[in-house]
Amino acid sequence: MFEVDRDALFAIEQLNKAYARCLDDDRLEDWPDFFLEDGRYLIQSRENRDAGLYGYILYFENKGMMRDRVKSLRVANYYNLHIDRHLITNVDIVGAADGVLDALANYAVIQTDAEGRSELFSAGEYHDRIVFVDGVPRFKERLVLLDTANVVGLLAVPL
Amino acid sequence: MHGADGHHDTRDNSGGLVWPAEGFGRVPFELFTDPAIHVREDERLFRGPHWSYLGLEVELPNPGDYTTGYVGATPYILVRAEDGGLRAMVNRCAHRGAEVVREPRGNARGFTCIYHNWSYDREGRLTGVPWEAGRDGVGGYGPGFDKAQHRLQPLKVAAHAGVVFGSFADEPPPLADYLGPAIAERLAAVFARPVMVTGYQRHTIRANWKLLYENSRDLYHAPQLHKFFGAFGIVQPQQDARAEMWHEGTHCLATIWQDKSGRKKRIKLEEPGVATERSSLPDDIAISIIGIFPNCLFTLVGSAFSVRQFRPKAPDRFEVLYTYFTYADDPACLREHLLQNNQFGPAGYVAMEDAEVVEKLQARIALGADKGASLLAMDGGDTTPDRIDHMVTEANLRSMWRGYARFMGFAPPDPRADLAAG
Repeated sequence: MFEVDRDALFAIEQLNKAYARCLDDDRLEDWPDFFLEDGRYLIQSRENRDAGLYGYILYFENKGMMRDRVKSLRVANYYNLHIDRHLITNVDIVGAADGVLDALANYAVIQTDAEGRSELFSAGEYHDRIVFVDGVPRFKERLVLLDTANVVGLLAVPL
Repeated sequence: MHGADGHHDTRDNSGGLVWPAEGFGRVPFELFTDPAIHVREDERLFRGPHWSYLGLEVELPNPGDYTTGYVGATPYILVRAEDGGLRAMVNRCAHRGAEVVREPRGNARGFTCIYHNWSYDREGRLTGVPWEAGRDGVGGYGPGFDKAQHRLQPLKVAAHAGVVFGSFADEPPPLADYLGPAIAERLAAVFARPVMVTGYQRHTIRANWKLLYENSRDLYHAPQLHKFFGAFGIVQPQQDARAEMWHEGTHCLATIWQDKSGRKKRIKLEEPGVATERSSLPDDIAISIIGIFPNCLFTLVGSAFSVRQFRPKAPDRFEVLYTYFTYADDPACLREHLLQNNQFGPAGYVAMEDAEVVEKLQARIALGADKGASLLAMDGGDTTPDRIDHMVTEANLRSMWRGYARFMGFAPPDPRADLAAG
């Protein structure tokens, strides 16, 4: 049985809280800094993963691609006016090897449109690979595994 | 209005819709909002004398492999039979109408409905009925019951270059004729190399399906709406473009060739691989968008290929099933595909805006403006050509509406009124 390091778990819970607050506060420019420079951010449906397929909705294999995303959302793209509310729970560490922690969390994102209507936008699971750099946890990889594989409207802001 | 029994008046035969006198440069908003038109489309287009996209042959390599989907409102199963051929049938039990296959895809010897365990073989023939001849000497269906009279309703199936289509018509036209020579040749050229399916994506858009089908051939909007290219210094090859229409204008083969002007800019993306620097397409083609009426849209860019199956659900709601694929014979294609695919799909740098714009358009026309009409007068006013060799046009959209109106049985624009207005 894998024994969870309580200090590491607490730090990862704090990481998830800060991540949620960053996105919900629309501080997108800060979002890439939760990742290592060669960190990966992937969004994939459970349907594709279970079938052994790729099918990524977003496939970012380094932090530069995340900075590109934020810049594009700021200067180029038109997308739905909304606010996000991330609810992250069941944070756990499920494995550790070679200085990398494997962590899981459940998430739900409630979106509220420009006229104040709130709807569940996405539910799923974070599959994380986390490295501590100078005592601070950073994502080596965050895979957003979508239960809500049928995206309604569009997905602009990271989950 | 749903029949052609000759007893309806002219208004009913035309679906109650008279096209504006200005011609196909106007598209009445009620085409996007009227529930009766939604029903009529299912009868005349998706269940009519057309071919609808069902899947790719490469998804079904072995006997028993199956996929499921929808042609309009009708669920289907596509399956590889013992003889290696493909069969398609309605995914609805002949007994009570329950869904027979519940998984999106898989491999099966046959199909069994969960309700009363009626079972079917891969041909859709009814092979098993529990208690058919009664039980313990009582009940049952009796000697007059003939299983051969109760099968899963078949669709006609045909494939071209590995792309599989189905039709509810008794005698649909030959598929190659239906596609037309330009699209048939393009599909043959694209699928001349082996492809691999890289994934699926489901997408719900709260708008009428025709708004996105129309958007996909709208060459006018691309540089206006999609600022991603300009913002990051990505040169768009827009010098040499062509739109070729077929099937009364409702299919559109849009082709943009690679830019040969020698323009070079530094791409300002930190990961330039997201942009399309190398095209895997044949014949120096940079982008090929192929709309095959009524439910199919290929987007072929660089190494990021997809085919979308449209599934109308209501006048103001439809779903898209993306099937992503790329070439299987060049390992470099897969990473290019994954990087470039960030442009497409519901989160795509380019595609996200198409979903946004059609949803917001739908919301406005549903708010009491339903007697208005869309304006498509660029490049010729009301002409509906079958070929255009530039991008500064809405004529290929008008051509689509010409065929749509004809297939829907709407009264055409009044030519005398058109002359008077002109």
